[in-house]
Amino acid sequence: MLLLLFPLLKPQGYYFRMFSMMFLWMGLSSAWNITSGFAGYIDFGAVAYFGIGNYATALLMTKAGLPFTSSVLISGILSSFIAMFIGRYTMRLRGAYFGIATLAFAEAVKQIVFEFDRTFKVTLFEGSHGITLPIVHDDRFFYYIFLGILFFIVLTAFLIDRNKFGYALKAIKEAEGSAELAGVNTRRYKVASYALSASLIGILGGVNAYWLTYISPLDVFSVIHTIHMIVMALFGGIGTVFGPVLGACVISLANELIGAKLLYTYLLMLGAILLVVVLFLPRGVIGLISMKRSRR
Amino acid sequence: MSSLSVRHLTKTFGALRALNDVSFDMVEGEVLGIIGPNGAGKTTLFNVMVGINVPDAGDVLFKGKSIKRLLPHQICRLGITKTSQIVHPFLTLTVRENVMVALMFGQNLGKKESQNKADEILEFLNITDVRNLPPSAISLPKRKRVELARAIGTGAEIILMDENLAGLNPKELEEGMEIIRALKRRGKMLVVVEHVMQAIMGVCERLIVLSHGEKIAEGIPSVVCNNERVVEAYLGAGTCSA
Repeated sequence: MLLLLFPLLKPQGYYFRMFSMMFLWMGLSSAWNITSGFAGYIDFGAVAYFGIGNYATALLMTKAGLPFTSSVLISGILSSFIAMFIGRYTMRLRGAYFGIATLAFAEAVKQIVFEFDRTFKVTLFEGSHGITLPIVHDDRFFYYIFLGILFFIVLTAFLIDRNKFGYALKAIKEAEGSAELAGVNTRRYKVASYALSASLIGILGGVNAYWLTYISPLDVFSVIHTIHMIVMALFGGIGTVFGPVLGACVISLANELIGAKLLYTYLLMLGAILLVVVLFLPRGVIGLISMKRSRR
Repeated sequence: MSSLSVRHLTKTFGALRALNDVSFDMVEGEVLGIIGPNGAGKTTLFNVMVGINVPDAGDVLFKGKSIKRLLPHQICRLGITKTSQIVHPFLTLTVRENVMVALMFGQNLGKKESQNKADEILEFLNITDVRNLPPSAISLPKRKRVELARAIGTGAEIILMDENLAGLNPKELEEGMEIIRALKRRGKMLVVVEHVMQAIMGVCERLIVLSHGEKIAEGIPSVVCNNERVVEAYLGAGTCSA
């Protein structure tokens, strides 16, 4: 509620952009958490769908002349179809092997977008030149769009957590064999969760392209984005509904405050957070809070 | 007509022939026991029957249809599931939720209905006291009971029990045997793999003996366990005299 009213205070553009960026990361981390947190398939290639969303929206808007909204929706649908295909094969692997396969997939997509034009002598992805989108001078517009999508993603995660779908994913995470024996169509559910995560990440990617107005493969497909989603979710509490939101809020704020001036300090801090979480807080900050509460 | 028919099953893992031409039939409402030394192929037989492993040769017919190429969740919904020897419960869910998963997906029930049915099953198995605990917080005998609760929750007609009664004290064992008899009265067909001969003799109407992947004997328990080959391969002399 407060966030809806915030723009009425007529704050400076900087604050709009800062909040938009935080909403973007909260959304990405929450969307990542549906596959990686609920179903336990840790996706190291989530940035692929972010990049695909960016490029799909950019190309649809600049080359096909489609309006922004439909471009973004098509980007989401495209991401989920690609994920269904990729998930069908990669989700036969478990644990680290799934992580390696998805990481390789994301790097491959990056290289394809980067080298496609040069290799085939065409002008499509524009390679390292990147693509420039029409410029919109309306910070409020993006503020509300990111907030709306974030709300939608968290609501989706919230509903999944309490629904049959959520039970299927948690059963798969805990003991996939037992889930099968209990009648859960494990492949269908895990691929569905992967496609859902991908479509939400793709939609956010699409909005991101229009927001930034300039995208290039090395930026939007950077592996650091995946690492951010992972660390944010881990820090807040992987597998919980609000953990990734909390983690993304804290870490993206830290990124804004420290990252711009002291990049290396920030990266060190990310590493330190990861270590502390893995060693002492396996269920993240949310886990710590609920543990304290149950001890009382 | 037999409801379940296992025909000439053969399964090899590399050079090891875990099952070699094993055949048997089961009729409606039967409790069948399977015994044999470690490595005889009992668990592999179960894994083939529920779709975890695909046999190299032979077939499994359930109500006249071949199920050997189906996945475990498909076979489960048709009506066959198993409890594993090494239990793998859903650790972050409560005991009740563990059973609810089976009800929701094995029988396609809604969440509310599953909750009520799960409570009934936990009551039937006498583990209502732990229903809100995670499986990590309860004793192994109770975890084995949860494993059975999950199998019952799927609604399967045939439950394969892989050493579900192992490691229990005499009182728990007696209770476990009573549960098996009660399940039979409810119309379930059970296949019981067990090393505890007391349990086998107490509940099974028919017995199959496996050794090195082959069926070496079949028949009523009292006759089978005096069979010369069975005594030699597995039981040793005098086990069944009691």
